[in-house]
Amino acid sequence: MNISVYFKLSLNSLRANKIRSILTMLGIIIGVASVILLVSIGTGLQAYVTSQFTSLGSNVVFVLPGKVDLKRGTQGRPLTQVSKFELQDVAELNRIGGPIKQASPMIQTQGILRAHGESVSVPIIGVWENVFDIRNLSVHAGKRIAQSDVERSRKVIVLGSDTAKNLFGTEENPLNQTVTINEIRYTVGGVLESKGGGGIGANLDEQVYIPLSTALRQFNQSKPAIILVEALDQASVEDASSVTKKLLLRRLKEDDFTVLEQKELLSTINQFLGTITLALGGIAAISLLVGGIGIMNIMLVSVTERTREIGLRKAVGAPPEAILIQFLIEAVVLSLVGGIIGILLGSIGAVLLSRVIQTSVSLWSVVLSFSFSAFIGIVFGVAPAIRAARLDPITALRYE
Amino acid sequence: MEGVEFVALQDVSLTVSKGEFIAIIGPSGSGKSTLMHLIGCLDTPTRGILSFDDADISKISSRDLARIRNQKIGFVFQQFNLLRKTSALSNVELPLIYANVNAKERKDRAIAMLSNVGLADKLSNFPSQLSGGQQQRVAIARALVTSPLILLADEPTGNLDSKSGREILDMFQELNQNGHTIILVTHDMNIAREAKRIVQIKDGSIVSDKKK
Repeated sequence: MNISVYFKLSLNSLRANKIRSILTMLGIIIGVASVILLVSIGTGLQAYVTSQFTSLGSNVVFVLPGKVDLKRGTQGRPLTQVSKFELQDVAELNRIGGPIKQASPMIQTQGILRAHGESVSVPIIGVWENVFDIRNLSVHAGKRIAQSDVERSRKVIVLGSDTAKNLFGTEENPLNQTVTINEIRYTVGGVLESKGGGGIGANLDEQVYIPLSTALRQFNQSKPAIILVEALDQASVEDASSVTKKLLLRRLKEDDFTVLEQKELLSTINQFLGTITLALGGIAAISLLVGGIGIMNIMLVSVTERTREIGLRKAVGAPPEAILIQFLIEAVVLSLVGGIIGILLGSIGAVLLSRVIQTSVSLWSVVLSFSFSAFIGIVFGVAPAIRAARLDPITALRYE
Repeated sequence: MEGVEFVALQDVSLTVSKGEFIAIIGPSGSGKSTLMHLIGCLDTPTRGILSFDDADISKISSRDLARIRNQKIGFVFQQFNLLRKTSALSNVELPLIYANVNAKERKDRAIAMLSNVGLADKLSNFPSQLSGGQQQRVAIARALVTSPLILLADEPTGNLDSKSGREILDMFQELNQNGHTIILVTHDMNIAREAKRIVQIKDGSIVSDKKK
């Protein structure tokens, strides 16, 4: 018998038992599609956060108070430590030149903004003018915080695009309107261009900016909490970080501050996101398993009928290998077709979902889910055939 | 029952000649099923000689047995054993597929055979759309489509009403008159009387062998 005859036998059998074929494929489709989709969400999340981070400016070095070790955690000390930075340090960093382009002090706190009876809780950041350059923030309307605003502690505020929208809607012009923070009135001086991105993690478009001096007074602080140091270019980031460290050590102790490069932060965050992807992968694996059990179920339920069928085929003269080849082709065709449909559905789902959150289909999820489903499909498709092919035809015919 | 030796047939000697219509009769457990399995090349004897069409097949492989079943034996079962979701025509074509007959000839021969059993107008019907008698006639067409040397029928009327049963038995008579060798296995003496020779089995041995 040549192979095309076997194919015809198998395809006829699949067509004759449509419901069984479809249900088996459904198990494979669900398993494959869900793994691809869920893993694409995890990978997309990772890509999204990475891109958000680099949009902050990848030449930036962060100086944080206290000792922070990203690998070993805070070792029992509180994460928020009292800052010992002086504005003098920032001025010196700006003067030193070399690998350092500029430095900017910051203080950040969560606070409630009110206007027109609307109120929003947003990150309020006290800044110098140069922070807008370092973090690539540009104004959509009005002006950014000027260094003269800082010098005179003016009560001006620059709103992130989302916060402007939330407080004033899309109709009203927020410029020169008044917003209050703890009863203190600020004038809106500018609204920032949107940084884009969805609602995962910190939304940069919610942040609002006020002059650092005003912020220190408003929140009753005396020292900036963070210093951003911008290196000349990507290549000089390490130099900038060591120059910064050396300069600060002249006045402060080793344990008083930590200099972090962006890539260190990024790798820590990616580690965390990797765990999320793994968790999503775990959920997907469960659906793969459920799909697999579905396949087994249908295959096992049809064993009785199929055993009789095999008995009959043997009685009318099918040689043992003919039975096996037919069942193998059936299982392979179901697994292949189901797998391909699953891959298509999973990918289409990921593409559709990317309108809401970023997704990215990864090859390993496709390969893994497809091969697992195909394995289950083939094993449980062929197992009854192997068993039944060993029975003598009459026993198989009478199988209950 | 594993490990316990069970002797189903002992000292049985039976020769069937071409063109005979023979009934094998006996109560259940008498060994008539085992005898039928041997005659039908579904099983080989543990001891003794089984020869078929002038060849000793006592010790041949399961693959060769399958070939003999395919080419030289036609089975008719009590339960019809048609493939449920497959048309009458495809059911009859099935043995020809395993005989490597090409598609066109397969179809022609299956149609001719279904016409012979009076089902020319039911080619594309599924078994569920046919009466019991019609299903058994499809099964007979399937058994005969390979032009076998013998037609082996196991309680062929057991699942039929008396009228359909009568029709099937008449069909067997007609086939026998046309030269087919028929072996009918039954427990019912009334049906056995259709045959020209009746072999009675009891406790694994032949107790009588009468020709009409």
